Amino acid sequence: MPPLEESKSEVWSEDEIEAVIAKILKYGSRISAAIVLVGGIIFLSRHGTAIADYREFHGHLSEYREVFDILKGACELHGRGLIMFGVLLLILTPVARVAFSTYAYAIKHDRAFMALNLIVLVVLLYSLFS
Amino acid sequence: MNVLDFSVVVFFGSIAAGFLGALTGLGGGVIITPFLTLIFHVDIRYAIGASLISVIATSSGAAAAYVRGGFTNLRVGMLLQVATVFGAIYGAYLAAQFSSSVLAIVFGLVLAFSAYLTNCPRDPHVDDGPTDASAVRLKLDNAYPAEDGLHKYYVHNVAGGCSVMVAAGVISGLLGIGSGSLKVLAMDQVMRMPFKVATTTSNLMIGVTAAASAGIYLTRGYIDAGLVMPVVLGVLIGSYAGAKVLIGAKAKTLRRVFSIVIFVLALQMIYKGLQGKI
Repeated sequence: MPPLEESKSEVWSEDEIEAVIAKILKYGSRISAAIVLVGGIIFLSRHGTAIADYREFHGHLSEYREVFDILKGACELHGRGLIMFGVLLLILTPVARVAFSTYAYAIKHDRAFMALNLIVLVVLLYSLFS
Repeated sequence: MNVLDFSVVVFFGSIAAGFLGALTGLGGGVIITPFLTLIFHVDIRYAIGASLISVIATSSGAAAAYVRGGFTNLRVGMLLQVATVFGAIYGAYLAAQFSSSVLAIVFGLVLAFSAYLTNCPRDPHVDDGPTDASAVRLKLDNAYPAEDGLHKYYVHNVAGGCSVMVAAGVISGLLGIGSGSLKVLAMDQVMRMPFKVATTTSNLMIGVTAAASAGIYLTRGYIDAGLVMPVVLGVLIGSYAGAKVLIGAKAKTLRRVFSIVIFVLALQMIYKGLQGKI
C-alpha cells in the first residue's frame, strides 16, 4: 500500500533503504580495514622481530577478549589494541545495518520486518556484549 | 619465523585465498583455515577466528556494491537472517565442545561438499506464479534487472528455506566460514529464486551470520590480533581482485580448476584430522 502523500518525505522507499545500507557497509568496512592497517603497522614496527607462534592455543589468556579492554588498548595506541578495535568495527558494521533496518521499517510501519530486524539486533548485541 | 616474515607470508597467502574464494564463489574464509592449519600449523581455533573476521569483511565489502545493483532481495535476507543468527550462536557454542581433530574432519567434509555444490548443474526454474502464502504476505516476491528490463520472480517454500538456513548458521558458527554455498542452495534450489539473486542475498546475509558468532569467538580468545591483521587485509584485496577477474569470459574453466584445488585441500583436512595431527 502506498504511504499517504503528506508523510511521503518521512518514509523511505525500499530503494532508499538499500542505498543507505550500501553506504553503511561500504564505509564501515573501509574504515575498519584502515584502522586494522594502522594498528598492524604499529604492531609490526614494535614486535616484528618477535617469534611468531600460533601452534599452541593460548587465546584464553589473550588481553583483548572484551569490548572494554579493546577500547582501552586502542586509546593507548597499542598495535594489537588498534587492530582489535578495527576488528570490532568490522563486526559492528553488519550490526549497524540491522539497527538501521529496524529503524527504517519502524518508520514505514512495517511491523513484521521491524520485528524480524529487532530480533536479530538483540541477538547480535547480546552475543557481542554479554 | 619472526612476526614480520610470518605476517608478510600470511598476507600474500591470504590474497591468494581471497582470490580463489571469489573465483569459486566459496568466499575467502573457506580457504584461509586449510591454508593456515595445513601450511603454517596454526591451531585450528586461531585459524577459524581469523577466517570468521575475514568473512565479515568480504561480505560487507562486496554487499555494498551488490545491494545497489538491484539483485539483492533485502526482505528475503532479513527474514532468513533470523534463522541463521540462532544457528550461528549454537554452532559457536558447539565449536568449544569438539576437539581440533573433529573440527578439522567436519571442516574437510563441508569444504568438499561446498566445492561439489558450486559445480553441480542447476535445475532451471520455471516461472509459475506464487505458491507460498507467507511469501505473498511478507511481500518477498521481487524483480531483478536484466538486459530486456525487469524480470519478476516468485519466492517459494519459505519454511523449507528457513530450515536449511538454520543448518547454514550452525556450520558458520562451528567452522568460522560464511556457509555461502549452503545459503545459495537454500534460496536457489529450495526457494527457487534466480541464481544471481540467491548469491547476492547470501553474500549480504553472511556478514550478519558471522557477526553472531564473532562475539563468542572474541570472548574465547579465538581472534588473535597478530594473525587477523594480515589475513583480513589480504583476503579483502584478493577477493576484490577475484571479483574483477570473474567478469572475464574464461571464469568457468578457472572455477573448475580451482574447485579441484579446494577438493584436495578438503581431503588433506580430513586426512590430517583422522591422524590427529590437527
